Amino acid sequence: MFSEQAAQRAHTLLSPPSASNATFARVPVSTYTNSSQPFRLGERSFSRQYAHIYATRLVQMRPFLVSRAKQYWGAGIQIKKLCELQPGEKCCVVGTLFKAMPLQPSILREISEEHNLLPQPPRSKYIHPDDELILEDELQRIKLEGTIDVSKLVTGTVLAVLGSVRDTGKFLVEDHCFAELAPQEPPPALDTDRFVLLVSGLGLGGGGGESLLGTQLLVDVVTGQLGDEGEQCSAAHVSRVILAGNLLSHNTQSRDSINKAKYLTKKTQAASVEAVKMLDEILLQLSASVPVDVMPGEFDPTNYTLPQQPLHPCMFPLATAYSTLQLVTNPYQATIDGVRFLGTSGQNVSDIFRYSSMEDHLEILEWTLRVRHISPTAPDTLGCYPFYKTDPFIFPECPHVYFCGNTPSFGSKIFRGPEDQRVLLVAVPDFSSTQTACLVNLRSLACQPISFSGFGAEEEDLGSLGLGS
Amino acid sequence: MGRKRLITDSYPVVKRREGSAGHSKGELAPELGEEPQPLSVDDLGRPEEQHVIAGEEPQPLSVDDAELELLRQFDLAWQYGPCTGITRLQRWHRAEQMGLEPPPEVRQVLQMHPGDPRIQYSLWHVYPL
Repeated sequence: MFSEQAAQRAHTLLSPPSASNATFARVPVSTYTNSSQPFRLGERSFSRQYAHIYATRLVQMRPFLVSRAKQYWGAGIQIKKLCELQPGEKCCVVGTLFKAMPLQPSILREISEEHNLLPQPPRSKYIHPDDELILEDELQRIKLEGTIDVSKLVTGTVLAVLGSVRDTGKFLVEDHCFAELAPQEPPPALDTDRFVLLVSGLGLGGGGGESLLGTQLLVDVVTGQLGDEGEQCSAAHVSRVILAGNLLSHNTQSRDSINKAKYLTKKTQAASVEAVKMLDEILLQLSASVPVDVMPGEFDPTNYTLPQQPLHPCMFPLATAYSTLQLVTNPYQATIDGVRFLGTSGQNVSDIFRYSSMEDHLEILEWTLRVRHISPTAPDTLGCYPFYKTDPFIFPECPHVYFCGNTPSFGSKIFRGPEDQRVLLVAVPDFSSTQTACLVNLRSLACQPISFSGFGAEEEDLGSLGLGS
Repeated sequence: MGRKRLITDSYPVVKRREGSAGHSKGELAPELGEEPQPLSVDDLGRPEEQHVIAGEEPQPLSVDDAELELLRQFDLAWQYGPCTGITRLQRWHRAEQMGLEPPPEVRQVLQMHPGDPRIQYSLWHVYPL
């Protein structure tokens, strides 16, 4: 998209200076609303258990599942609670899934003296052929067996199973269904091409110099300081930039200073201080030219539990002078020019990746959309705030663009729902390793990767950058 | 000097009555009766922190045993979700928002005694997480 537009205009580089300078006005954002209010936490109280969030999750999701079950298996299907089950009778039960995994790291097993276990090294996947699925509703739980893919599902999913209880006390599953997609408002019809740039995993403070060149190229392209008039004209169509998490590299989180003696570490600065200064300068350049939304990620200086609160503006003294800089929560929900965006910095997807057999991050993203829950593994294996009133991670409505950051590679897909919903799924890759960002076209709801790279100093011609598909 | 003071004097005295175990969870469980006993003033004349004594009310309205029983049954009703960690009013509002139709009498009792911790907090409030 970008490069075709650019190629159409006449080449003006390497020509004598002209009297008139071409100026390109950036497309104004006609409407923007930040709807992340459910993810903002006011006063936080941690003197609660997590039973509340599971109870509200089940109560909120139950009506969706009951209607889906009736839709798939006939209106006459019997929906029963676990305490009302009769052996041999075919019926449908709605409940929360729990996967009992022997390899799941358990702090109790680690510190228990009778097992004499050494702490388990972190693995990439904790699935095992011996995993078992257990369905829990408000009062009871029952083991599931039958035609259900144990390795694919994760704890915390709310689903409806169709089957019957065996005499052994286990539930034999014949079929199961999820809540599927929520209702969606039709996307607006835009007249011009407008782009939103999605970047994640800038990884500042990581010590590698190559990614800094890529970051600077990205900033230059977006602010229109790079390329021919054609590219500058295309860059003017970028109406917003969303930085989806992991702005700092995980190297900035070193814990050496905690283990060493105080006299050795007194004068050392945390690695994140330098990295945040670099980030502030980059944000200053970006926000002077384009509205920027900054989402925190796993390695950023904000709280660990989901929903992560926005980074504090005191860390960015230079960039906060501009009102175009918006520090937002993770997960982030907004309506940009009528197109609904919803996305996370990737912790939910990578946590499901660890406990499920699904390999592709885009597939996991699609699965969370079908289950109608942004991160079902919170609070089991992913840290979460102990909500009690509602579970804010349930999709109230279906977004038009659903993204997750910090995936190992770029992926994008149009997913169609049962009620004609159309969602663009985008897996935004980690910029520090792939040097790739994503351009989402709001008019056609299509996504295109855009990669920035520079050759090393051994090459004679430096800085040849690759734009476009 | 008086009697020797033990370290356990500073702990609150709690008497527990065991409820019957193994009943079906479908019915409401019988009352477990875990109200903390009134604490005595110790030898040096310092009053203990918890001074709630049944039957003696500093507020103008007296708290009915029937009202306390109603609130206890509301706490133990499984339909409205877990009761620990949140106040009864918060739990009532949550149940109302989710369409579970909690009994309005509970709300009235809660509104009549806004400052009383025995009314506002759940049964297990004094116990930590």
